[in-house]
Amino acid sequence: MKALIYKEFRELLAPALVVVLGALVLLLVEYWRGPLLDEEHRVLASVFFMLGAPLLGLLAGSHTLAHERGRGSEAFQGSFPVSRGAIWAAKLCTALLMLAVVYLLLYAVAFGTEPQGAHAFRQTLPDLGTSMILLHAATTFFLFCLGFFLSGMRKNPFEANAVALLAGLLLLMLWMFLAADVLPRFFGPQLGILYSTPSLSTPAILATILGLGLLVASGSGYMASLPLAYSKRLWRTTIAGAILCLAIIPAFFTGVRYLGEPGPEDIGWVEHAEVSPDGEWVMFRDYRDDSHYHRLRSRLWRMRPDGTELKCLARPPVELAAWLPDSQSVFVSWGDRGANFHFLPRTHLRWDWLIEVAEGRTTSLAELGYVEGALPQFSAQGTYMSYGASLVRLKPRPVVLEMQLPQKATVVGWEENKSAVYFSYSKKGRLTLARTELPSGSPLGRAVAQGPEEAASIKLSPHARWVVWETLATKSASTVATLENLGSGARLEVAGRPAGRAWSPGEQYVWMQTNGRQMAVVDLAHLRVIKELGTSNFSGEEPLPWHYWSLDGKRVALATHKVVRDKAQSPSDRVVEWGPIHLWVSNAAGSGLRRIAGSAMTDFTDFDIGGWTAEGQIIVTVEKRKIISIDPDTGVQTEILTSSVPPENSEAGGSH
Amino acid sequence: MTELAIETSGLTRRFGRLVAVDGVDLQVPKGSVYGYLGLNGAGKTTTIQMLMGFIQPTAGEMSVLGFNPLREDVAMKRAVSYVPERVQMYDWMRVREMLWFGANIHPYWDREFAEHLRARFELPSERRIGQLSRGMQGKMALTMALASRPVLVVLDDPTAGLDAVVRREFMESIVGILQEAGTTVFFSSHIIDDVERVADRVGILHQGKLIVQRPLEELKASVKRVVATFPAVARAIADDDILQQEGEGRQRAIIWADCAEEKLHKLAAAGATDIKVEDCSLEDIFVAYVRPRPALVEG
Repeated sequence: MKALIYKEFRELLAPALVVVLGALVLLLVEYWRGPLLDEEHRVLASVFFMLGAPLLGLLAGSHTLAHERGRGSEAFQGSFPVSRGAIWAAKLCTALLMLAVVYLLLYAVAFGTEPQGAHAFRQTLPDLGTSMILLHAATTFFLFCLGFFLSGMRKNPFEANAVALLAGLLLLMLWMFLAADVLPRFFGPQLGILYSTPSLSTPAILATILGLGLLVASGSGYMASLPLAYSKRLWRTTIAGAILCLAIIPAFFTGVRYLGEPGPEDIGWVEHAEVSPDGEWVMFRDYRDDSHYHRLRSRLWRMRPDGTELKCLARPPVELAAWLPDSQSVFVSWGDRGANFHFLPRTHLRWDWLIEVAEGRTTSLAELGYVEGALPQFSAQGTYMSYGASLVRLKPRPVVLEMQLPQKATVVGWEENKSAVYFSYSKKGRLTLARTELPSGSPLGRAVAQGPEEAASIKLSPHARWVVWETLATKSASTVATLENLGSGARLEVAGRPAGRAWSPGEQYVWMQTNGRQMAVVDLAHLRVIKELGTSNFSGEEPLPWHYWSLDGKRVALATHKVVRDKAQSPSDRVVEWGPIHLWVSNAAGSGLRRIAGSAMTDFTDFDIGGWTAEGQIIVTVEKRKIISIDPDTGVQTEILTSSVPPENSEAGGSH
Repeated sequence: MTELAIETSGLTRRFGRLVAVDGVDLQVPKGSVYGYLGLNGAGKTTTIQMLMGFIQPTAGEMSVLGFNPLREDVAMKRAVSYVPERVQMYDWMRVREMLWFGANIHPYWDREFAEHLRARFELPSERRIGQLSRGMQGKMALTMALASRPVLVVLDDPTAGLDAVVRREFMESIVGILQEAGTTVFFSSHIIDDVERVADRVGILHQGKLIVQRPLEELKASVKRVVATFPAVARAIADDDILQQEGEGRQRAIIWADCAEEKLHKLAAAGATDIKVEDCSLEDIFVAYVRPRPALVEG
């Protein structure tokens, strides 16, 4: 058996070496330019591998079976004192070994040389035991064997038109995806991904290099005895196919895919305009129509607060985007929830990125593990990030931290200068706040505080100075927050909970939301409530639970709307009717509250505050069709971006 | 069966309507060199492929060294070496690698004997098989066949495609080595000189049927050419044992399968004079057996 395997291995060595060389070239390119295939995904990888399997089977079979017949050594082989089963097993084992090597290389290239890639690769390992992976593996094996034995049907499999056509079609398919994925990397935006289409770049690149390598080797006479040496039909088929596919790529998924940079004229429905923490940039998302399906598949853009320097940063389907505290990059969760392949159950494809906002350069964070509704949480200076169950150190370069937290533990904050992470977990039925220093922190950390017996959740202020225990008062069925200073242990009980972005930049004040209709402003220096704001302060309207602090921490922007809960008074006969949204500005302590009196403001039914610019303007997304800049002092509005969606469709985006 | 290396009974192989091998009863004694003769397409290779277990007979039984080639092919091939027609080995292998390969394939490989054969055939160790001449490749195949110390060697037309000089050299190599090794040899050929030079027993296959199977010396002693002169223009002689007869004027040449004294008396009684009995070469005998017999005219 050893001699048989040696013989088969030597005969497969030439194509295997070409594959290895191809993979080395790819890895070198990846080393210099970054990952070629950041968007690769394990489920898709299985699909690609299944598609590539019959081609590899044909190649392997052409060398081990057809070549045996072609050169006439079958009879010599028949004289060996070994069973036919052993001969076939040696051939198949060697071919499968080649398949395994090729696929390992594909994996290596797909997941990259980055530590995140290795992390992602390890994440795939538990899947090996699942029925899905087994199904893919079995299908791949079957298709490989099909190609392998198909090649034995004729003396030279590539002499048969049907087999040459099959190989050509497979290569054509691979090259199509190669062209679709790789070309835009050089001529298009950074995330040049064919919309809802599996990436086949790696197999395509390998197949191309393999093909070219075999062509060169055949031409040089090195492989004069191999079947591919005189298979001109194969080359004709694949070259013609590649030219054809290049021609059809721009028309593929018309309207979704661009070979060039998309511009303002391409912008669809806009939403989630958000000013960077330093107030110098505005990012927003757009999507092609207002259906729920497409709202989960948006593009990401950035521009200056005056509307200049517009650039598309990421292609669909962007699910989530958030500014890093340094304002230099954005975190993007790119994925397609519920992509439905005809031959696979519903899949959930995800990838997480950092995109440098100025140049658009991307850094892969691999897949961090999706948690429905989870938002990334950053340390104050953006050194660390937690997302779902993953901890990432972002600087100097992103590394996924291999830290094991207790079961059901949640990261709640960071202590930047000491590289410490705070997390909460339940200990003897009580919420406990623990702290551990990275990177070699203890999984259990050091418990630094324990909440009241009935505490239901815990929050930490951005600079980790204050901890907030939230409890539900059983009698009033309202939330009570206990603020505790982590340094002194001083406590204050306040009705309500800190709303989104409630802490002032210097953590002098925190704005609490009480039962949805009232607000309380807490002076943290003196640990007392200094202002209570109700609907009477907002002309009878109810405040929305989001606050936007100006960069200097002196002013707060917030929104209100009129809520009609009496069905009889509702113009639309609904149980609850929301009225138009209005923008208000207050000083940090809650005094000087006033409504922005822009004439058009009262007409807005859909309204989203994006934050304060460095110049003191407030950025607002209106009706999903405009992004405007508002001067809080004069109420003057400046339109900085308008959607290209025709006005007659605007009704479709009118709800919030 | 114990003294026979190969024995078949009614061995038949049909390919559709074509009967390639028709009821062949082979008997190859151990230690013999058996020449299996036949025209191209007579069924020699088909017989050998059945004996090696590559194809299944349509009918009949066979035994090779006591093994059933179909059910015990691996055990059989440990004792039997087979060199196919126009053997094609792995061109990319060097002679040295090929011998290593053989040593790892055959359980009874004799490394010293393999090296002895390589030296005797002057095969360069580092030369690739594809770079060897046809004759050298034949010798390489013979080395591979003999180095496993087989009890039986089956050669399927081993000299096909070789020129006369190389063919003679190759056959003499076989003779020399086999004399040393005492191995049973069963080889097919359509080149009669080769068989006559080395075989001690022959079988002639014609249109799928084994029409002769005898020791070579016995065959040559039995089949004779008789040249006789008749008083008048000679007419054809009717006799079932006559394989071939031709005449010109009063003289007639007859090849008798079994040239006994009574045949000569019969000629003398018919008025023949100047009767000469000549030995036949194996080629004459083969041609006489396989050439179509002319219609007889009663004399």
